[in-house]
Amino acid sequence: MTSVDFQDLQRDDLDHADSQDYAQQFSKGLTEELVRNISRDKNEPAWVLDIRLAALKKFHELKMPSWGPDVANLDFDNIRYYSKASDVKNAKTWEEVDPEIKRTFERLKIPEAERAMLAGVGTQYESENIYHNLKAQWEDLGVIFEDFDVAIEKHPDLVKKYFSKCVPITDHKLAALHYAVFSGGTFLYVPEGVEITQPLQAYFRMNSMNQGQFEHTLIIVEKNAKAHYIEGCSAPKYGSQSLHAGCVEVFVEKNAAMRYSSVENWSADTYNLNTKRAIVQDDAVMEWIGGNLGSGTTMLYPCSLLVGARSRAEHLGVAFANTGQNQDTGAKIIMTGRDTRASVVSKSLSKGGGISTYRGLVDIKAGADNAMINIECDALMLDGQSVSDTIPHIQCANDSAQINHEATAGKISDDVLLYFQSRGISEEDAKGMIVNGFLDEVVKTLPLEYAVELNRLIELEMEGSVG
Amino acid sequence: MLKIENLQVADILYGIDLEVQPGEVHALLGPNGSGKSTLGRTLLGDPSYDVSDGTISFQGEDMLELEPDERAQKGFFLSFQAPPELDGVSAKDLLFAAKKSITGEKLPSFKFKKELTARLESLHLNADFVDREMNKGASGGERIKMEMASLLTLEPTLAFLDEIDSGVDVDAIKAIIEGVKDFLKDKSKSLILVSHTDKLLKQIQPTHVHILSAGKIVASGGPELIDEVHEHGFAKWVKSSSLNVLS
Repeated sequence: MTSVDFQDLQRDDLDHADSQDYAQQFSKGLTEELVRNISRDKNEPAWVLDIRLAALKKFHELKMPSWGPDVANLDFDNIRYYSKASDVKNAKTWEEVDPEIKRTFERLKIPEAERAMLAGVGTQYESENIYHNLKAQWEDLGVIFEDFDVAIEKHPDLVKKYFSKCVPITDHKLAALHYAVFSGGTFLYVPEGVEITQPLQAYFRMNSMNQGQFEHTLIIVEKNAKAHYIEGCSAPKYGSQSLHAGCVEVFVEKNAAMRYSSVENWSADTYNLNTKRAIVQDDAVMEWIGGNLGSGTTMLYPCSLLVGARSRAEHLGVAFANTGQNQDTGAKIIMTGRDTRASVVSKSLSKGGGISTYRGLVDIKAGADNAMINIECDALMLDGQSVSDTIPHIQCANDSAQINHEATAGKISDDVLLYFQSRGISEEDAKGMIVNGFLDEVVKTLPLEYAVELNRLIELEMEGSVG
Repeated sequence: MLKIENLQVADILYGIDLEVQPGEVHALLGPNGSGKSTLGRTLLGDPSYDVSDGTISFQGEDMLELEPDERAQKGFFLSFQAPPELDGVSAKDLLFAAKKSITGEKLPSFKFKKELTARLESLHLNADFVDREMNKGASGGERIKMEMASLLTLEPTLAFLDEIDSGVDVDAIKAIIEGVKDFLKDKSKSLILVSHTDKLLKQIQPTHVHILSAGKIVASGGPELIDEVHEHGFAKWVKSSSLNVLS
């Protein structure tokens, strides 16, 4: 078997921008006309347009969140909400893909990873999926892995049954925006009893300036089924804002297991205001593993709704806030089922004045007997100007619950640094090793290739950390 | 190989002169607080010690101009009395990176791991220490053995071993002695040894012995000085040097 090595990934592979002549087709700004145009362009059924229009109305009604990072500078009128870069959609082979776009994904090593280790790959470029393929062995077992637009057309009953049932359009302002203009994304359906042994991956790439990306990911893992989905994201840097407001809905049915891993590495121009949520049934397990780097402002708190008895959730997160970045990430755990278990491990780094915040919500409802939750938040600040905060919010309406919250925050100790140096390791390399070691607990849960990629991305962030 | 002249560190060292040639083993004796560990830390370049005067030349270079990692790359090794715990960094990761940095060569990692494992076992350390987080939850004796394993892996030309035998059990002292002897098999290697216990000094047989007191070398000689200290303590030197400092 061939393998893929992300170790030689360079900054330019991520920052490189393709031409963007196509961007003028759809104008900037958010209007009802635009929403109708998107729906018409996709030939959507009326029920989808109805959701879009209701969501647009909600967007105008709802206010931006009053807590968290300041997003007042986000100019909704200067974002291009819909953009098509290629005539080819959902190619099944890379040969059909536009050469320039194909090159971009090759730089990001997606085709290589697909050959080496993935069950299927979807790649979205701006608003549309350019390539989407599932290996035949999984298709034969009834697995559905499609561009979300295609899923609406091919599997309308399934989509209609679940779509917007986990994250409602009224959830918050950005969710409403998402439902008004969503485009592309992934639909994954794993039938009862099917265990997909290789991960599936989707990669979301924004290319042009002031782009918005609003992909919708809907995952249904049926009874006794199992899947691992990996999401990667990146965008070039322009010095002018862009917006990512994706939405992920996951349904984990009885005794099923779902692992959702993501490495989000948007550019420093990007507002990453993303919503991810799972509903977990009896004896089922949901795992969220997330790396957040790159973007200017991130607000992302994957949520597990533990409704089933003995359902479990694990949240593992890494956030890196470099100069000018505000990484506001965390976890939301809502427990309603009995004997539910959850654990949260959050590792945050800040450097060069970056702000890193863990924001968590634990809500244990009255009926959730014997709930247990363990939260561990560690923060490492790489210099004196950087900021780290931990803001946990815990509410509990059941006396039988066991809640444990531990938090540490600190800087790299001088003694540890000197110890590395005494062994001949330079200050810069030592800091890199200390940071990798700090994140190890989370990174090692990723498949090896992606652990290497995340380590490499962190290495790129660490450049110039001495002096 | 090492030449220290009039080395002064604010309020701790008051003019140290010391010369070490290849193949020599220098023992530093002296009461607590006399400046032995400070000398080791200053040789490493610990930024918390401020050199106010004097020179250190190592392998013909001005050592004071070098960063601690550059000194290690030139062949200097200091053992830590209380080696820190490294989160998420294993002994293998640390020493692999260190060896690569010092030699400039990248070794095959499987071979490196095999050799390191064998070395740990020869120091009576369990083989699983190779993948465990460095010093994490380890006892004092285990940490010192890891320091010895580091020394033998990195093969410096000059090692400064700072009280590697204090607070450890008999079994550990045995392993440490074997380790030091192993290091000194190569006759071009040099050693500065700080110790309070007779056993290690007897076994290692220093070529030179110095008594440090209140930041100065107050006596230098051969192994016979060890016996003198052992029989009469430091009283004779401490008294006179204290007077020197006061005057």
